[in-house]
Amino acid sequence: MFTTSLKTAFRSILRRRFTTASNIIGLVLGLTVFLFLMQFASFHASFDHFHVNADRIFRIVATTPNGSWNNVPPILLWLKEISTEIEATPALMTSAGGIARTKPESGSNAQVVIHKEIAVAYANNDFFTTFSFPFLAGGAELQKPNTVVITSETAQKYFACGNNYASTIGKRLTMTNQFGITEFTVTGVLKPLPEETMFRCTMLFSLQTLANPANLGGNSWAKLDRENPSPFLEGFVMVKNGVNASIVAAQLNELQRKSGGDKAISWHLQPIKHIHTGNGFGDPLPNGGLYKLVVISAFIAFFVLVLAFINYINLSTAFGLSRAREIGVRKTIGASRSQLILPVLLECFMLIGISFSISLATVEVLQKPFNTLVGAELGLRYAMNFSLGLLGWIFIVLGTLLSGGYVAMVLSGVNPIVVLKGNFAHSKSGKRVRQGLVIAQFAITIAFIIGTIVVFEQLNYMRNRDLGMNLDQVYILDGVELLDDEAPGGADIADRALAFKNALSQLSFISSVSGSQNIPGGGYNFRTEGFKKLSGSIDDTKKGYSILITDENFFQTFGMEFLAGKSYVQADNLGNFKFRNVVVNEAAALQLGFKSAQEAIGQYVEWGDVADKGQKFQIAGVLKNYHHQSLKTRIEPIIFLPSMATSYFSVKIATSNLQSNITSIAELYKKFFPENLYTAKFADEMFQKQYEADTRIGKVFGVFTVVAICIACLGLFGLVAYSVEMRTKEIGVRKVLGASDGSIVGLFAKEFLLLVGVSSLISMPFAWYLMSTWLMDFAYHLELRSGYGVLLFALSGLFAMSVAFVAIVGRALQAARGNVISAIRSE
Amino acid sequence: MISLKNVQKYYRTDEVETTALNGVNMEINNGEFVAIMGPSGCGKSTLLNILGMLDNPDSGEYHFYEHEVAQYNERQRADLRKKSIGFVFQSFNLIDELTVYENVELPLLYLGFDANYRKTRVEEVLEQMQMMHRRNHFPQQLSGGQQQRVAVSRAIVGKPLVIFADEPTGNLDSKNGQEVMHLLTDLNKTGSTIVMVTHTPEFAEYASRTIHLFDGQVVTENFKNPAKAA
Repeated sequence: MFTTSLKTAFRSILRRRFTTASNIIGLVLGLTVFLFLMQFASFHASFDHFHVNADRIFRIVATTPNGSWNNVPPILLWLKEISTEIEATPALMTSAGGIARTKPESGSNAQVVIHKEIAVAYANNDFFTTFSFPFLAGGAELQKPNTVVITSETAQKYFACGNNYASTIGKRLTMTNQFGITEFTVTGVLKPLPEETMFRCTMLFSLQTLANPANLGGNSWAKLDRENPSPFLEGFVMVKNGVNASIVAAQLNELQRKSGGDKAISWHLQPIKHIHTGNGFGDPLPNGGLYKLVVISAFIAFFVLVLAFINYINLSTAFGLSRAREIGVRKTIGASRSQLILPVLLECFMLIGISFSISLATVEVLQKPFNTLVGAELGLRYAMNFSLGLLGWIFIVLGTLLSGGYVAMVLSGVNPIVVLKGNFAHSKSGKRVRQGLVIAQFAITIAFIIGTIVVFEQLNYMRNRDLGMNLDQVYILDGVELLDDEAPGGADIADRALAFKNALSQLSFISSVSGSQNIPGGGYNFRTEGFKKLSGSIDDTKKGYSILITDENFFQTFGMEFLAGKSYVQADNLGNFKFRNVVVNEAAALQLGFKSAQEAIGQYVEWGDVADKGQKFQIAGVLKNYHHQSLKTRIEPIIFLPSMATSYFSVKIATSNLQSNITSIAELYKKFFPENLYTAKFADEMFQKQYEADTRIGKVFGVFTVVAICIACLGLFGLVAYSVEMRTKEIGVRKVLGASDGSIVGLFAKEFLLLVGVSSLISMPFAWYLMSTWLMDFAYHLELRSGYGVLLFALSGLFAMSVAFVAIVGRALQAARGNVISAIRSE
Repeated sequence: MISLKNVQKYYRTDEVETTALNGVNMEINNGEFVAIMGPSGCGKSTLLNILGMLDNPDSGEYHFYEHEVAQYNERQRADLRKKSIGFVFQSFNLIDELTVYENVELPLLYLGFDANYRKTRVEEVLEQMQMMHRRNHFPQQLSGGQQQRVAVSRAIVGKPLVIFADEPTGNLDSKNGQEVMHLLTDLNKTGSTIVMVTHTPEFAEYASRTIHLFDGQVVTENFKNPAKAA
């Protein structure tokens, strides 16, 4: 019985080539998108799940009514003494970037290899006993000062060690960063880190190095002293087996209370598995915020597969007429229902099996472009792993059973008397179901179209919005690290930076030069509170401000506009972090309590208790608000402090001879700072980089929308073909009576476009709700309720209609131009 | 032994009720060859559907040997049908995806016979119908007459009590039509009961009795053998 069913199914697939091909194309498209998106969703959902002890690892996080953070003071390293529930306390210090270089043995003629390293950190030895990062050679000895663990890529980059990673053990590197120049010995080489970890370090220096004051470069805030209150470590705990994390969190809060710390602070233990995505929507603890992205991708994956299954159901039941006749015969000669369902189910499994195999091959082929699109090294293994992946597989199997089962039930339920007369096709309920499914398909597709258009429009909106500054032709050079002992002249960094800036301003094509500690699109130097105007209340000091440290030319170089007053001068920096004059932006002036920019000029602002280490300074200028960061965030109150800043040099350059101008700048830099690496970028590029993730989402959305449109059109095309087949005689009669080709096409277009119209009406409210929610992430965004928003929605609907129309016209026109005689003879 | 007593069947649409069978009484004895004739729309096919247990009457009695089947549900009818009835259709209704051999084998599969028996029996029937040489062909590769021979093979392979043939010659030319009629006559001679619906008086001549239907009622019955009329 089974063999016969299998044979029938196989032959049926071969015989009905058009249906089979349409079915397979639809399923392959759907499954391929599904597999890709599940990879993407599973990848993000599985960050740091791979650690053997992942369920026992937590990050220490603090919350206050004003916000949350995930930094702790060094007391963390002594927590095991306080709590017996804690097994390990891994800690990281990530503000360690600088210039690394090899230090060949004396007498060796090996070249010094030198690179800028940003993704580096100091870590304690608990890091490797807690997290699962296997070694290729050596091991971690981070309890000892001046040791370093590097990744295999880093080993290749600095020591070109081939496969002999063991040869790098004992080799020496120096790191020049804010702590000065420190020498490290390599003790271990790590296997390449998995993609799905938040620890993206190329080098891990021993934190113990900072225990030696000589290695701090005067940065006393980084002292590894249990009394040091400065929260500069990212801290984790691994609790002992069977220990509830809330007990440890309670112990931390108790410790905080006993030591007389800030009562507003509350400590939490955040499971490591929640750090990348957040624990659901609106997780109050700091996190990567990717939960929404995971959910959106999983939903798109789900819907695209639903589209494909709907297609299968539609085509299989629509073209089931010949199948139905066969089933009618089988029924007549005594087949039971289950005996009828088997071959149809088998056919469905075969089709989906074939499609699935093709999809796997397609995924393999398209994996690289997809990885480029999403910016991560993904692979099928992600779709096979983890709970989300499992859910995906269950969904594929369930979808197969449901759609195959539905088709089998419909076909096996036929009345043999009716189908043997060839009448199954005219079943009204079957037609309604198919129309319903087409409506569902297009509703999903239109939602995708709207989603894509809104994402791209929002990106456009952000790119084109007036930022309140002018980033055109502003070229930003990364500043200098601490100067090397080999530096010529031994000049002070500030002197050399000043000389460099002067030299730059001498260049004819440069109109303005500025030094700053941060730049638009980068971030702020820090955030703090404690400011008030002289007549302000003590409550005012609770308000937060963002601080930027710049020289006097910063505002001019970035084309910012003063509403009142003017910039400060270098002499306004009185040394020891004391200032005579500052600049504020409009938002800060208003938050300080001034009614206008004019009113703020010349007024004093207190920072801290002036009688006790605090200071007061005057407002020299009020800057018109500008977008220092992406349009995702609100414009914040900013206070600018004057300084001979050297982290970034920004220059406004003329457009002519751009390439040679850039080369001249680079040469000048190398002349002044021969020991530093020269890296530079245009300011607008750096600013746009903030939208990289959103641009990616837009592209992913775009690609998958195109696929969704294809699948839906395939289904529509199939149904039109079917409808044409059923109405061949009607078409013939109409033509005999004088109908034009256009009127015949119109006949079909009307029927199907109506369905697409209904789909639009159904999908638009959903799309409106979803996209409004998405736009909430952006402080400055499109207004969907505006006329423009309505226009976008209308255009999406029209677009879907036009695509559907094209799918309809091809087949309908063919029918309209067909042979009239054979048409009227057909029965 | 088959008998119908006062069988009624109606077809209803939203607005109209059509009487397809209006109090049909009929008896068919074992070994008979009965032809049913009448104009289009007189209820021939409806009658054959009820006799073949593809449909139930709205009222009346239907005795099929020892079974009263008028009130049988779909499953009971299907069960009885596959054991006792063979069908031959005007449009052959062979399954395109199956070979001649597989088409003929199908009823035996549904009856649950083992592979050995199926092989012996199918080959036996194909020999009898002179279709053995075409056993591995697909229906589309055969002529109309050959297809109907396969259909007849399929109808008799399960050794049914009755064969119902719905215009078995309707899609054939006269030569092939006669051939099929000879086949049915031969089967009848070897003891099979045959009930055939036909439009063609010439083919009705092959039957031992002809029943004429008009507007859903039996109007006349003609016996070939006058002795039977008594």
